[in-house]
Amino acid sequence: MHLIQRSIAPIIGVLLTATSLIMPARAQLETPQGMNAAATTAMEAGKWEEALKVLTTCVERFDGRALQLYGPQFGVTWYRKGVCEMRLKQWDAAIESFKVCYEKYPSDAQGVGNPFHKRALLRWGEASQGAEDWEAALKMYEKFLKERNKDTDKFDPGAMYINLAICNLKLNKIDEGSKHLATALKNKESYGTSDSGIVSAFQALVSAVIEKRDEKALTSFLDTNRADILIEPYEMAPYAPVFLKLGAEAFQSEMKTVAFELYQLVPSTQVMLEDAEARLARLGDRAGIRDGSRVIRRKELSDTISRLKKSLDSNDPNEVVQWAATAFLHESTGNVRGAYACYQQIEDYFPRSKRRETNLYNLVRTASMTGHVTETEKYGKSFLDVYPDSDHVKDVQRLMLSSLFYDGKYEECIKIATDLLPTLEEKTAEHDICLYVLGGSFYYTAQFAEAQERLDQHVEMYPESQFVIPARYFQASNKSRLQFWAASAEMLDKFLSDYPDPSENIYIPFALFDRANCHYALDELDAALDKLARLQTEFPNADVMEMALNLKGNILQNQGQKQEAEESYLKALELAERRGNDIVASESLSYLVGMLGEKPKQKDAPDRLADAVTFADRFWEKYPDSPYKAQVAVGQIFAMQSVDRGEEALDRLQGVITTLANTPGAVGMEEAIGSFTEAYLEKHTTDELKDLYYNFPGISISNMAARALLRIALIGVFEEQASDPKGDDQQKLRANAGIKVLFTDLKNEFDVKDLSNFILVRVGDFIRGTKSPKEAVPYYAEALSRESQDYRFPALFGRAAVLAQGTEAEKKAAIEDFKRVISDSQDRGDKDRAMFQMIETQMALKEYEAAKDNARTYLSKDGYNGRKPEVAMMLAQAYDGLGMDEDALSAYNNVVASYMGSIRISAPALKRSMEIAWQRNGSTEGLSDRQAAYNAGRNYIDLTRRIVDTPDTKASSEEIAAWKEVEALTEQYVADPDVKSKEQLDEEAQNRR
Amino acid sequence: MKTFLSLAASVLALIASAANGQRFQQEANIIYHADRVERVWIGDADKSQILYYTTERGVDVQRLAISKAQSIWLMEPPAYTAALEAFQGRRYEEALEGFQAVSREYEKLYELPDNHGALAYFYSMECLRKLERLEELSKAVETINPAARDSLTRPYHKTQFELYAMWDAIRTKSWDRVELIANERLGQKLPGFQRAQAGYGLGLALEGQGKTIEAINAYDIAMTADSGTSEVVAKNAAENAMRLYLQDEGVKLAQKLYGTPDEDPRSQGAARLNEAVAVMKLYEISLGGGEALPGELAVLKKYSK
Repeated sequence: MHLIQRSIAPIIGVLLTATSLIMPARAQLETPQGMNAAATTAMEAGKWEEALKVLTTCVERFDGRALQLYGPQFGVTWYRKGVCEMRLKQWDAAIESFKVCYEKYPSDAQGVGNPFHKRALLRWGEASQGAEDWEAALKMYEKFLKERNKDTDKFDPGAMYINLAICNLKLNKIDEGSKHLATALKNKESYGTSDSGIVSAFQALVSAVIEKRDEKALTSFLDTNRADILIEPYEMAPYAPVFLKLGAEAFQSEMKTVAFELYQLVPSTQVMLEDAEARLARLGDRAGIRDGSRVIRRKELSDTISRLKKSLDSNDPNEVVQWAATAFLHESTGNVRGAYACYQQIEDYFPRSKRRETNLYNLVRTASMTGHVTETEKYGKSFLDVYPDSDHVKDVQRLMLSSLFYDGKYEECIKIATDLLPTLEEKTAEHDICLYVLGGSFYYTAQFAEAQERLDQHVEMYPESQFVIPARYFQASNKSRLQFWAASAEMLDKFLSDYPDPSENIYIPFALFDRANCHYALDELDAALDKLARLQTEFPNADVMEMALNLKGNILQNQGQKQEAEESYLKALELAERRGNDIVASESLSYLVGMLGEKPKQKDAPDRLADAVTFADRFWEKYPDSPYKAQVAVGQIFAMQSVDRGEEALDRLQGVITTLANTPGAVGMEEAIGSFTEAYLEKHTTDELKDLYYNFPGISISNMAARALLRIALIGVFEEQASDPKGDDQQKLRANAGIKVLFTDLKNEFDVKDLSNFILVRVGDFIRGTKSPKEAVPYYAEALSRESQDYRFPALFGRAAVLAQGTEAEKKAAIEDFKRVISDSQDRGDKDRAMFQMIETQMALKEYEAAKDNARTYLSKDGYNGRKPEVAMMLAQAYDGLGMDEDALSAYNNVVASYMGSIRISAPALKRSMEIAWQRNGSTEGLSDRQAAYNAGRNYIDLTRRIVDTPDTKASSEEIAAWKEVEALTEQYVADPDVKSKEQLDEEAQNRR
Repeated sequence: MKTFLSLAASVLALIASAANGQRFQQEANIIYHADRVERVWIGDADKSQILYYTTERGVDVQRLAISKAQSIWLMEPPAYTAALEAFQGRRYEEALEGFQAVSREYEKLYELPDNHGALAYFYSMECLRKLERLEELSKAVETINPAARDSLTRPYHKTQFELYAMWDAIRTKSWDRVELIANERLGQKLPGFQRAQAGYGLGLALEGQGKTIEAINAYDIAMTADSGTSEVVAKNAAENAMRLYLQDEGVKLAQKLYGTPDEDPRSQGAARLNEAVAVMKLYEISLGGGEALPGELAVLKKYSK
């Protein structure tokens, strides 16, 4: 009920009590006067029930003839009865009492008789208001105002306007209600409008505004009446919760403006407290004081101070609610950062709030959403320490990790998830996300080996995980980063087939791009283009599109379709620049410069060098810090020379070398130095180059990695000189000596940790070629131990080549390395030599079956070419080893037929073929195997004698020895009585003719 | 601290001013104990004694050693009430004028605790702060009567003087100093309206040092510390935050790509553009105090989905 009443004294009145003073006490209780007197006494003592009982008895006993016996004055009894009923909230009874007072006991025409006749209307209105019959209440108030005697029927205007406001507002008559409330407010001082009344009416206004969804009404009202509605801070304490509650109601009704307005009405707890304390101090021992229209009461101040202190002590003042509400308002509007600020203030100022668990959780949540990574971790840890059994624990752990993960703080994710993972129970949601984040973080930080292990584990352990799609994608993609192209390709194909719906799988474009990359790495260029075409058709706006266009350019360039490649690079450039992707834009430019700036291989090839220079200039202007600067500095050299800017290009390249040398992890140094070397030597001598490389500007003596690269570059120069067919012997001798010295330097002066993979492989290869090949292994091992995939396959091959010469176990390990190179190297030469050496090693291990199969693959149409004679020989030997005499014989014969001139191959092949045939000792079409064996040997000896058995033969001693073994065997066979010599056979033939 | 002349001289001075019709007096209650209160009109006071009349128009001047009373309750002057209403109604020019007049009129009682002259002076400084007249504010802080300053008993009044030092540093764009003071204040338990000021100052300092996101975070404190009750600070903070968002390179790119096929809703720029739009909405809902969005910020409306 919203009823505003002032002091009770004027309501009770004094009539029907005067006579009670002159009657005996007992008799008094038998008369209306006596009963009214008793009731008045009880009312003054606040004994409303007792008073009501007396008055009820009075009207029951006397009302029937009261008008005749006592006149209109008896109406006072009904009036008082109504007052008691109102006090006891018996609204309907009160209405009835006031109605009887007004209707049955009217005063006379002069207004004499019932002094409460008109005032009964006012009370009737109040009782109706109490009964929430707003219409009736308004009607009675209006009737009272119309009929009252202005001299005698006084009323409290503040309370009246408040009541009029409330009734109208309850009827959703916002304009009318606001008008009355504004009147009460504007005349607050003169009417003495009570604060509680103001708050009640304002509450009604807010409720009406919410119900009618009329935000404007409230904002307009506040614009005009803000100062009046604001209660002094010391008085606000009891009402603050009301405003906070109204604010919450407004927010729930999605009336944010109203909600804000309401929260803004609540002053700071500290201000309320200090205001109350200051006033209390001024009161001395006084119970209260009237200051203008305001009464300041000691008890109220003390209660306020006590309540506010308690709320501060318990860390639960209004601010906690206010901030939580403000946080909701901000977050629901999209400003999570504002919500975060609120929760942070709660945590900083009231960390012992009973709502802390929720607040702290929300703080972690919003910190995570707004990229406050350190704070997410800090508050997350606090939460987990304080509320280890909270329902939010799992969410907080998840938020801490996912916040870090989605904000790209992968190193921190690794730190936390590595610690957390062992503490989590497997097959739980927490273990699931932790494992996923750990694997994903390793993936994003290019720690691919570590990533693979976790991602494989995740995919296996959590096939139903909410992260299954990204985990499967990372797993497959990560495999390609480790350059397991074939395995990655298979996984990507399965991934694309298992999750084909783009609305559920946002990784499809990425997977298509990766798959195209795998095809490209595996030299499946057309298939790679197919995947890229699908990407362009189905996902034209994919995030990876600019990268895909660059890859397409690479493939087309590789296929010799330079014009199409250029178009693709240009599209990639345009898209990347539009998207602000500087790295990819600069990558496109590097490809354009590299392709258009190549030395023309054919005389009539179009000259695009000027275009290359234009792209190069654009690169240096827009992307001088690009990671592709080495490629552009290298790629532009020839083009720049063609426009007389060679020195500039050389200077640029020298600068880039210095920059890269001083940038840990920079790529492209080898190419840059190689290119610089070549360009420098066009106008300088080798000795000048050597001087420069031993004191390269900007590269300090402690920069071992860069210095080692420069040494390698010098080795390269010497190697060219050593192998130059036009070079003189002296020069070659010097060059070889230089190579040896430099490699020895590299081995002795540089720690393997200081060397790049490129150098490790070069030094390893050099050592492998010496008499102590096993000393090369640490160099290869170092390169293979690194996350960097650079020169992985040459390193794998080098290590395998050394191991292949070792023990049986080492040989087997070597075979695994060879297999890896064959499977995933992008260099066909790598694959060829790995395949050859693997077959060789398998032969050494007498793994003839595997050797046979691999040799057949090697020799197949799509096989390899590098060592065909040797492999053909090994195929024959494998058949031989397997006891497959017929196949062996045929294979040996093929070797002899195909490579007769290559004595080192053909001689042993023939010898073994002869032995098999001799051993078989059968016949074919009338010709005995033994005769055939002799015939083959004799024929071979005759045909090849000019190669081997001449004074100026170039055959090696090993070849001569092998040839002579055939010759000896032939002679041995012909000594058999069943075998006829060639001469005998020729004679018999002659005779037959 | 002022000292009275001899009682006779003081009395003579009061009588003379009364005779000229220029008498100053403030109604008060002298509270001796719970049941004894004397209604008086104080004409002058220092820390230890008051001179007063026993009737509103009386001429007999009485002297009382303050130590003899439990307390003196000064009745709130209507001019002060009116100025306070203007202040609460956010009519700061009007309030300033009113408070300045009250502070001048009641300066004789500057040494009494919580006297209305000193309170009015305090609120006149608050008006200057709200009106962003920082030169005048600095001058007012500098020239406040020490007795008036000491008479303010509420701790948050004292704290506000520490924040005026921050506002002075803001005036001179001494960002290091602003940052220092703001961070110190934010480390204390302050009422919301003062935290809002400190948050705003910190935002300005960080913005002045080119720390964009940190500045926006600080502006968010200003916008939320008292739910936006400090309407000037909250409005400025919201505007500055929006401006900073629009200067962010990522946001610029997100604006460029907005609505195009290349739009990337997951990019940081797009996320920040959304935050800027959210602040814009909050500005329209509340923080802007009903004012239209400044021209250069209205562009954000284009990105409101």
